[in-house]
Amino acid sequence: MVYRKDWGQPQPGVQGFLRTAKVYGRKVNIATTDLGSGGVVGMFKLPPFFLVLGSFGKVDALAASGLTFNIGDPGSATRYLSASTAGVGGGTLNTLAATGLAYPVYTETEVQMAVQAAAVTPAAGILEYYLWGTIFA
Amino acid sequence: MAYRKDWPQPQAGNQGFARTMKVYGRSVNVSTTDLATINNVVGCFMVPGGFVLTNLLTTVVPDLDTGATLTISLGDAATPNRLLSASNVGQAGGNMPALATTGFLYRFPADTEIIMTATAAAAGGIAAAVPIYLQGFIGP
Repeated sequence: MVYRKDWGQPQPGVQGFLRTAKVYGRKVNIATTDLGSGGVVGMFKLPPFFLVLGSFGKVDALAASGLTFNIGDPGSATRYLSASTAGVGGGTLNTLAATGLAYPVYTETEVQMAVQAAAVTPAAGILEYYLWGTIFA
Repeated sequence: MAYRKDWPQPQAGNQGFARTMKVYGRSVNVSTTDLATINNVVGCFMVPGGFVLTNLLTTVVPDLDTGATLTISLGDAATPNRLLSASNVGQAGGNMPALATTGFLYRFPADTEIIMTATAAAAGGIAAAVPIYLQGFIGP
């Protein structure tokens, strides 16, 4: 059997958005009932084959004291942010946890905020959070 | 009246550039006249509506003043110090300061001109190109 290569370059390339930096996230409305111990809020979804490279965020004052929360996914509740106290008094959330840096998301995945320690005097507010990265495959 | 949903998912999604990280800006040519009088304003460039700002790139700002009186702000017509407020970085030159908290995650509601304002005049203005770059993404 003889093989003969008939096709020439270029063939169709990868998808156009490959390796383009994208930012996923939104302003999430947090209710006082979300801020009890064990409370979990689904925030947004990441697409498959998304490589997480950084985060941006800020949060309103959601409690007078006590509150710590995590941001992660069903596989790891603390993947992107662990035990943040920024919800007490409000603040920014720009430091990505080491476990989130260069983390490859292989399937469509919900990002969640999970309360680790309940709020004392909870207050409704906005948690604005974004993950940036690139589509890697 | 009855309602019947006829359309299936998926519908057309966002525009292709939605959530794509972008950098807007340029080296802005600043003249001595721009620096000579308090509240002189230079129109720098436009950012598109829907742009969500995340940071001001750490470029190197040149020396813009032979003396030590110049302060500059960066912002827009509605809030001239939204991005940077009365910075003295141009007195001797140096790294562009961090974005002001009022600019962090600010979503420009419409096409907006970024302006630089001399909030205090230079003692002796120096003409130079000032690299100003805003990083962010096109919001949902």
